[in-house]
Amino acid sequence: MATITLNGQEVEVTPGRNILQTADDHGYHIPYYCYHKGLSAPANCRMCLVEIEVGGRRGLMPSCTAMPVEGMIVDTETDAVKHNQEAMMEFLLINHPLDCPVCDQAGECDLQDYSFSHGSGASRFVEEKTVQPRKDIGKHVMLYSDRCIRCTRCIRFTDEISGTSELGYFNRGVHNEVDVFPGIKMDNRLSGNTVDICPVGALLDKEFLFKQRVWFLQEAETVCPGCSTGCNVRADINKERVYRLVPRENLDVNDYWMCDDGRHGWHHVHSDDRLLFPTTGRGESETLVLWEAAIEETRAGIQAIIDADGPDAVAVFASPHLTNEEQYLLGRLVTDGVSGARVALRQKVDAEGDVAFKSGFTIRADKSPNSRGATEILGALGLSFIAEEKIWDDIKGAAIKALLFFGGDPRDAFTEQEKDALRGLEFLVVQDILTSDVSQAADVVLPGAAFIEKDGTFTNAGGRVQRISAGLTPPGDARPEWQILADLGCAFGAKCTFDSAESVMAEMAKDVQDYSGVSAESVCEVGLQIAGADG
Amino acid sequence: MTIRECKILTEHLDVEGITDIEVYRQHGGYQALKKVLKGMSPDDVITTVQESALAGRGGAWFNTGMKWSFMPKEPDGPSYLCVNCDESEPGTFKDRHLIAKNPHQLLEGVIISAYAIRASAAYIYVRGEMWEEMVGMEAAIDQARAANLVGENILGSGVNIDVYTHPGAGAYICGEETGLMQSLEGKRAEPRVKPPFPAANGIFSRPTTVNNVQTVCYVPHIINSGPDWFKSMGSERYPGSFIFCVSGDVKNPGLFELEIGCCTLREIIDECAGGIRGDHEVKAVIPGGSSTPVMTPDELDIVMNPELWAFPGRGEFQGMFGTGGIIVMDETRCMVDSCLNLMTFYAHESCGQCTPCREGIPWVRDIVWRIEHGQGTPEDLTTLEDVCNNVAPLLSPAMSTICLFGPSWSYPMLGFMKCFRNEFEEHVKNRAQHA
Repeated sequence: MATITLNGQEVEVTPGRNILQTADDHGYHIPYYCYHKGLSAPANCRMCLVEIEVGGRRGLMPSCTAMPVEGMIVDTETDAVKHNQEAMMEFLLINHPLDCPVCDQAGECDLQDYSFSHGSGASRFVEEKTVQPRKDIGKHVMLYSDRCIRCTRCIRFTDEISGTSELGYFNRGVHNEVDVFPGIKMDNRLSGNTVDICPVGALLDKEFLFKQRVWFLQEAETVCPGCSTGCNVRADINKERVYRLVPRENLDVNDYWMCDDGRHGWHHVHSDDRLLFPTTGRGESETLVLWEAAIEETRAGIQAIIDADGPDAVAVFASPHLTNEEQYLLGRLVTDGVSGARVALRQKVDAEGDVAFKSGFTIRADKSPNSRGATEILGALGLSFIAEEKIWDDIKGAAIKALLFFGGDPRDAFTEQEKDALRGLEFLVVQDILTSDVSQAADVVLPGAAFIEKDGTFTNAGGRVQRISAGLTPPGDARPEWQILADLGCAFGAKCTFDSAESVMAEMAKDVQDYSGVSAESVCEVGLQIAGADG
Repeated sequence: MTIRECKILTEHLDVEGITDIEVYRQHGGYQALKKVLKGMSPDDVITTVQESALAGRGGAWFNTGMKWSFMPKEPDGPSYLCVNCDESEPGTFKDRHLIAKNPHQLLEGVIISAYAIRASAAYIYVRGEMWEEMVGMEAAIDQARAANLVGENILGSGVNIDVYTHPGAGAYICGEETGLMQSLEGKRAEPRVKPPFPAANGIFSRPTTVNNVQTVCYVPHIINSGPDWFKSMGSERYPGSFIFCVSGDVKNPGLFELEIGCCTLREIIDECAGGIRGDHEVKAVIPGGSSTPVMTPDELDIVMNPELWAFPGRGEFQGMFGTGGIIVMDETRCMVDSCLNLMTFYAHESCGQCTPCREGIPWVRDIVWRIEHGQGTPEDLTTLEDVCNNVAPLLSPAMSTICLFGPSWSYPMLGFMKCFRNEFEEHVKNRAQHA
């Protein structure tokens, strides 16, 4: 391990980390624009220059490309370094429109932040600014070229991560600009990441454009429910409304990225079709009821079928959208309350298969966040899944008379045959978040919580248990599913009293061997690997 | 001092038909190549060139043999030689002449140099505007290929070296060695960050050496006559000859191959170039291409030996030797206008990759434009100096840009400010006269 002298102190260097990262490790933040941990380093912004002395030669060098070597002397806070930072800020701002009051990036803009910390308050530039055009460069992304500082992060992203190379660098000198190649749009499925990595307000998300000043947003750390990759995301929320999802860094899962499907996949949370109150009765006779009544109605209805036709006539559709804790409670409900019922997992897998990009980032065909958790936990409780078609067939053939349907998939759709089959059921209980053909045919509707309205964990396709957390309260009288399932369990006589998802987790850890190490502490910010990667 | 013409490279330039391989051979051509292939190892060639102390004539004056020695001795794949014939430095026109008049001299040097650095191929990157010269070069390569001097198994030696020409993409920055490599790869000529250096990671990510045309042209002569012969001319650190290109307000502009250090700048202007035109007097001289800081008449007695100059030899004289492109201006020239001309050129040629250059040079040009057109203010002079110092202070090795393009405009700008500040001040004071 190399030792360098950093700002007068001898420090040990973690191998593989450049000077910029090494300085950061020891509490010295070096400002930068073009550098990004997930991309190659062109050293073109010249903001991160620090004084480096090797072999008696001293000079300003970019800390993003310089790697520490034994005996190197690095100074990040000398007058020469500060002078250069101030000079670069001046250069970067002379042709910048300074339209912060109308710019979406304001409040999270590196140009603003470093201008405040490293720049000078006044401008000496009296010439005419070079003004560049605004461009609509893709389905999700707008490019305000006039604000661009030509760091090329976006171009490198499309070259190195998405591998789609729609973006290029055109013209030269002060006239050079980022643009899409003629006749091409940046419509790759990772395009939104260019907005995240743009250090200024040049690349903007059309959906978020002019919607919120970022300083009003509260952050909730969660996991994208869009597929079984389980990208770590942050939901930005103001006044009980989500405004955007952005990726969080997790080098074991999604690096720094997320796909556009996931990024824009939160709108159902605020849909007018959300189920708000528990109801009983079908069609005209549908009535809003209190939770106690709905739970009791469910118990009575299921029990009646069991009494008349045996537990075999009851089927349960488990959902890969439920958290691990909820899978556990569902398992307990079946084993302890409706023992003998048939269980299937309603899963949605895209025909296109997994979509992998140049960097290895993968959008999974399995469009639910917790298929693996459902399979592992219900399996550990001794339940095995019956093929979904078999259940539908048996419903049609009247062998199954009652169905407990757990939904949660905002994109779920039902075939005509499935809808037909539903009508033949004697008793249908639907637990879901959105109105659907199934919920409309239900005898009891139990409104649940969307991913951003509850706590818990998902297990991604690679066997990593990751945490989701509530940033919103569920609308109306809707409740997190763990609460509904606990109440149902109690109604069926199981010992099922829990006051939080975390308390369910503790109980699950005792019962399910693979998950024995899972706890609030062990599933920290980056998740807990419980099986071999991609196992 | 006495001016000593020293015709090494220019000896046969005017021989009729020298562009033909047979005529070139009649004048001793390709003897050096034969000598090398018959009895010298690549390292022998490197040692010979190193002993001759040949320095790069592209303006940096770095020891050529040393540069070659950085190339891998046992390459695990192809290595390349790249000959820089982009010659875009205003005031410099020697390389163009060398390839136009005697392409085989360069080609012989190219093959020997490629052999020395164990390169499997050599690219001659010719400035796009020199189309005819490139066509001539290609004809020479074809002749040499037919004579088994280029290509596979050269002269039965088992050595394979292919030589290609590549037309430049029309930008000054293509002459910067890493910009040239980017351009050769078909990319934008945006200079690369060093390290890695070309000898480790050059064209197509393979070890590469980039040499100037004039440098490579010396190689066959050094092989033929030996390093001692070469060292008998010129100065100790910088032996041999150098081709000076004199242009501007002189009676007899042109190329002059002189022994290094044999005369002063004034002597070159007065004796070789015939002195200043008409009844005029010299006012300013740019000594080595437009990137070198301008000089005043009282400085012209400096000997033209790079050793004595701060750049490249860190000598006492605070000037930059450069590429030999001597631009002479007489008293009729307005220094602000001349400076504006150069800054306009550099603003047009900045690649725009890195912040200080992209934003700095158009700013500098705009300020100089205002001063020249009677719109300058006293603060402008301070701003000009500050902006340039933020890129690269005059003759300081410190720079904030990725490549030497930054100093290439900040040095001359600061040079004009240093030598002719009074003219800038006069423009600012008497604005109405210049409006």
